[in-house]
Amino acid sequence: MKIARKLMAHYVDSSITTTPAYSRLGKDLEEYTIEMNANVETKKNILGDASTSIDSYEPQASVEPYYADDTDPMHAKLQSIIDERKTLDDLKTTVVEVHLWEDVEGSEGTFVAYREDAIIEVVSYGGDNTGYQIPFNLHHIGNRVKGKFVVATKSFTADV
Amino acid sequence: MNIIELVKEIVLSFPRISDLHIDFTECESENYGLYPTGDQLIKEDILGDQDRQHNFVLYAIFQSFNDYERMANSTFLLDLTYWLEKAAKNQPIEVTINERTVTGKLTKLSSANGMLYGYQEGTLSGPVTYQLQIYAQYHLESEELL
Repeated sequence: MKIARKLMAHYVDSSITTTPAYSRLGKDLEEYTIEMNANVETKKNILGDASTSIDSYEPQASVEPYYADDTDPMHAKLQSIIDERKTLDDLKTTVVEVHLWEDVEGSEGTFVAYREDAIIEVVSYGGDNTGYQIPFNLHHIGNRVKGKFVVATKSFTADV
Repeated sequence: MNIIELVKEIVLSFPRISDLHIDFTECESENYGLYPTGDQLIKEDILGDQDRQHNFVLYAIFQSFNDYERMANSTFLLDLTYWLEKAAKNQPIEVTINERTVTGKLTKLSSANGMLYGYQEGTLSGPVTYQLQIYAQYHLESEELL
């Protein structure tokens, strides 16, 4: 059966402290796509046979539009990047992809999820008169772990 | 309250409209009827939240014996247009879809084509019908997943 788009949930750690606080992405977003950007290598041997291999990915996603909302913790995080012109490790965060179609047996409201480190890239800020906009990109940088996500508490626990 | 009920309530709160029918207008002057003309999906985000628009036509019966009266009639529509633009204040609405109730809010009211629409007695000396097309945009939250 086709899986509804809203069942693939995307969360990003919007905390500006060391304790994660996950905010769900998607409000006003008609599309959110993670481009895998696979590194594909193709070789041809002397027999004329071609072999293709993929040895890495550089996943990246664009959040546009993002309308700043002062009740959304993500806005505070993005605004601090803009105000302080943050760079390097100050842009690091984590993202969690939650499979809302894949319950964890025996735990209501808990679903299979994957967490990965990411870098936030603020593309621009301002925009037109529909609202203050801060489009940004998320670059996934690895350390991907499988775990469980409790939707009610927005907490992720990695599998042992 | 659904979007039709809400827009009726808002239009009725305009100071110069004291009574408002739905899908009906009486033939006498100073009568108003609000006619819903359909709903459409504007966009849906990946959470399942929707922005929708419901269209209406407001018909108003006025006297238009001379330019003074016709100026007053068109000014009425202009004043109503300005007033409606400020009237959307995220008022809550409720919609029932497939026996499930979802909540939302009114986000924008706009209007267009305010004009003399037709003559009732084939002449400007009798009551005439003015129209104003009203567009109500509203946001619906997706149903809770838990």
